[in-house]
Amino acid sequence: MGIPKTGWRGACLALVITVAAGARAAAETPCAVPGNPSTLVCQSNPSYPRSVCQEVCTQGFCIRTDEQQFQAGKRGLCVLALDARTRAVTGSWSLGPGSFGRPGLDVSASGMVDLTVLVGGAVGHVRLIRTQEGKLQASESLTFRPPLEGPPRPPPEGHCTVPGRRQEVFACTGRAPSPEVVDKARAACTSPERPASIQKPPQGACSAQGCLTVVPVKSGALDAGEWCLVWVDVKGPVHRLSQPLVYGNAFQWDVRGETLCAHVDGGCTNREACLRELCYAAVPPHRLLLPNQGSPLESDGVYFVGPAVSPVRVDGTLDDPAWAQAREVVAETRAHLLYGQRAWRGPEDSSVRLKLLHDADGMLLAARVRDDRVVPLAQGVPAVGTDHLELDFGRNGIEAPRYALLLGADRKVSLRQWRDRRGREVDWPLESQCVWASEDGGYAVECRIPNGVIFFIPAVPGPSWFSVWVSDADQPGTQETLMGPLLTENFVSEVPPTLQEARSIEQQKRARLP
Amino acid sequence: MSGQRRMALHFALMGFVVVASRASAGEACRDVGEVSDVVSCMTDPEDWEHLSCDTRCKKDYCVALRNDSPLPGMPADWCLVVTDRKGTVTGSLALTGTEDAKVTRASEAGGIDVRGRDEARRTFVLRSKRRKDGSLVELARTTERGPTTALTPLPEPRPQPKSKPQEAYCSIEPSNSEPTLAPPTCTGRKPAASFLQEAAKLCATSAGAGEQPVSAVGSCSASACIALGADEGVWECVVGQSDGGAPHVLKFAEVLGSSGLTGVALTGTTVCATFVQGGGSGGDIVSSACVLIGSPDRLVLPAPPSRVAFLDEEGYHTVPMKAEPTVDGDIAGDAAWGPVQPLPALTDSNVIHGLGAWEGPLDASVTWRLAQGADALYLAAQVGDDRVTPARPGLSPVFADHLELRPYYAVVLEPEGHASLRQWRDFRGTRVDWPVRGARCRWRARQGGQDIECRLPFGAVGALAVPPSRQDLLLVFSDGDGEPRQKSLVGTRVDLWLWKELPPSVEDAIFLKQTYP
Repeated sequence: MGIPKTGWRGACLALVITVAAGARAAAETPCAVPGNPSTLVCQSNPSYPRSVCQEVCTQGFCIRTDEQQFQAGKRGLCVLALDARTRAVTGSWSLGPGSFGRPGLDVSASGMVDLTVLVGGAVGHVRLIRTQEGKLQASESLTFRPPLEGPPRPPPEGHCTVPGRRQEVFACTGRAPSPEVVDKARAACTSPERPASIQKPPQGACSAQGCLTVVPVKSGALDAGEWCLVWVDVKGPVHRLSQPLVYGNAFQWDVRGETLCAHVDGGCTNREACLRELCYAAVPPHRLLLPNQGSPLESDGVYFVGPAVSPVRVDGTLDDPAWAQAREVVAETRAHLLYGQRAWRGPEDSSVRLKLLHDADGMLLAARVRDDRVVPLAQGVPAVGTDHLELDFGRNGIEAPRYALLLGADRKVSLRQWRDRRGREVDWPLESQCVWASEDGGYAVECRIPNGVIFFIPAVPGPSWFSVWVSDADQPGTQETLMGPLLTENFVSEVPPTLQEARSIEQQKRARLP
Repeated sequence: MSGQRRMALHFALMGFVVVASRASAGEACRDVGEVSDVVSCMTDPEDWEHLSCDTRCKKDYCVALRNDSPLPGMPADWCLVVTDRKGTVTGSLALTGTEDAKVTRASEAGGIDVRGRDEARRTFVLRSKRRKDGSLVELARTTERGPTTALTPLPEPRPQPKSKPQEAYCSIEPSNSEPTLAPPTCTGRKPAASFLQEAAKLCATSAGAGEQPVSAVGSCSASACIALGADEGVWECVVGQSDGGAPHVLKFAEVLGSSGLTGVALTGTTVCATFVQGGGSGGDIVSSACVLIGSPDRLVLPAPPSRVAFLDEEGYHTVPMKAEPTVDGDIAGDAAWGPVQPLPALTDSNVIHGLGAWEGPLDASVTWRLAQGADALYLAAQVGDDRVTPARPGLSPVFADHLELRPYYAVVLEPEGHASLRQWRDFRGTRVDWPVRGARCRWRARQGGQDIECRLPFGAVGALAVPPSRQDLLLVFSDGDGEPRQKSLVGTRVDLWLWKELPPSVEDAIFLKQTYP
């Protein structure tokens, strides 16, 4: 098909929801030479939300996290124990290779180190012990909460391995398609420009509902090693799976019922550490199936913002049926802290559960915030020093727009723009329909932000990249913590999105802005 | 875009004079007999990235221009195509290195003129002839010297270093790309030795300076002194000091994004630097900028007295007005608009769609004004229109008279003088139709057209950034005639600079250069 592999890889990685990647990321080795001084400089500026660098010191030692470069440029996480006076490294422990988000550190004077990491859609936890010699040892293995896999899935009914280094043709297991199915598949794949190959016969694997059939095709007169994927339903219909996002880098396709899952190699040396799985509905409209859709998206990741299935009344109660259908993202661990590691006293001090939807008029936001002391706007108190939410489009220090939802009098919430599109500080009022309400142990915010008010929120389908932070001020005037999930959003007309819509969003991400 | 082209475009934007010529014509760019690819663009006004895509048809033939650029807005290879009335290509001429072009004449006898702008923003006119066999031949080509802005009136000239009597001047021998330590030659009053020593130190410690301090040379006016020091062997470090001020490095290279300093002139506290760079076989590229020494240093722009918006080679500059307009559709009667530079779009070169239907400035034309308030951008459009057609039930706003502030916004005319700002494209270019709350627009009919005024608050109009900022806008009046079509689109492209104050600080100028390259 002439599609560059790198292009598909980029598209794929942006969409993939990690499945058990963290659980497989197992290398736990030293990452620094004891005795050497640490030259790392932690970036604690909240403008750098993706920084993995954290440091917590006690009287005698410091624990620091930073990115670790493994062989072949692969990255992981390094935890260092430092002498508080000399800054010399006394011990280290590493995790990876893999893609680890911001870590959270909780360090006791006795040398107990609780490390929280965000991996894809999950929160992982490991406890380290600093020994009397200053070394770091894991006392518990890395565990993820909640289990990412959800209920165990039945094994695939068949699969096809994509030709690669070890084989030249597709090798399929399971029930093979009948000659009739093969003929149907070949007919569906044949076009004047790309006729089905005569030399290479189609292969396939069947479930009880149908057959995935792989038809080698030619590019003009050349047999260029390309193929086309066809689903032949047991009831008769034939559906060509047009341009799946992982066309270029899937190494295996599974068939399970009416679901087709592509296995993708993320390119790590330790292949098991970064395998991904992307599943599609075999029957049109081909949908991108999201794993664990029913469970909370625990942390950083892609959030598919879908339509409200019924009208939402913005009143702060969050009880509209539409919200029940929306996916929830939870930020309640130390790793979700963007700012204020020392001040944070646990989830009851500050944490957030967040949902996003859209309707014809704009974007809908529901946030349930746990906060043991709610500090709304008050005269004479700077707004940043009161409890509020922030919508932040910044990434890795790139200055970008930032918006705030401020808790005002009479349950009103005012939307302000705090940074313009170039990242300069402003304070502009913007129109919105937002309400907040006190709740036991915190407060709730419900919001409709009309279309166009926040410039970088797109039409549907379209991508965006804002994170929602909850800012906690237990004392009026002091911003103590800022925490939340790092998100990128895909606004879609239905969840899960159709393959066509998912592809459109990926194309938009690559396209030049007007 | 290649590095050379990018640089050429950049220099052109900086208001430089480019003597070299790249735009050329003469060769065919379409195969005779093929089906033309230009006819369909006429019917799609949303094809705004190919603005000059337009077709004129005569009794025996049609002529069209097609931008073959892979990226919109880039200097490109344009193609002038002649077809028969069935759309089959009979002849063509390539226009390479052309930034923009319009067919300005197509006679029944086959005389075809094109007016365009080359990479150096020089206007050229190409005269061609369609022969009886349908082929196209170039007859003549004339080029106007000097840069011009996009589809706008001629700018007021930038201040030139030698436009006033100089009190002090230092000239630097061009180094021909080889680093040189030959010191500049300075005329005028000699500075104090302490100032030169301080200047040498400042240049030696500036970014990229060599370890070995080199003595500086300089000259003084009655109220300030300048000195030049060597930075890594090249005399491009300029230090200034006004009476009572501290010596400091003047950031000419950053302001201009250039190197190749050849001269620095000082008059009062105004310092003007000239840079010369190789411009290829056609000549050199010369650039200059003037800075007022002060705290902070300020960039000298050719702002006419009392003007709050003015035009120069780089674009349309605005600063906050003291008295803001009243948005009621009365432009001529509002004194706030008085000191604002008009931007007329009155000729066929401003017709970006529907040239064949355009009947002249009385049919559709517009004079724009842009001004900056404390919290908003103001827009005024004095439209020439012989048939005012606001939106009404049964007539879509896109087919009624309206303004387009491309790429994102439109002003829709509604009954009873109301007008509304709508967002017609989201930030990724997807078509939408969203109301922009907080913006206020009004219009008023007058003899021969209508006046439209808008207040576009920063924040509510999300595409605008707080000053200092720049915005590349295509301002368009879309003329509707009551039919379900856009009859013609008349407009002008504006590189809008929003300054906090005039003259702007050098830091703000550098910020804009770096943020909006």
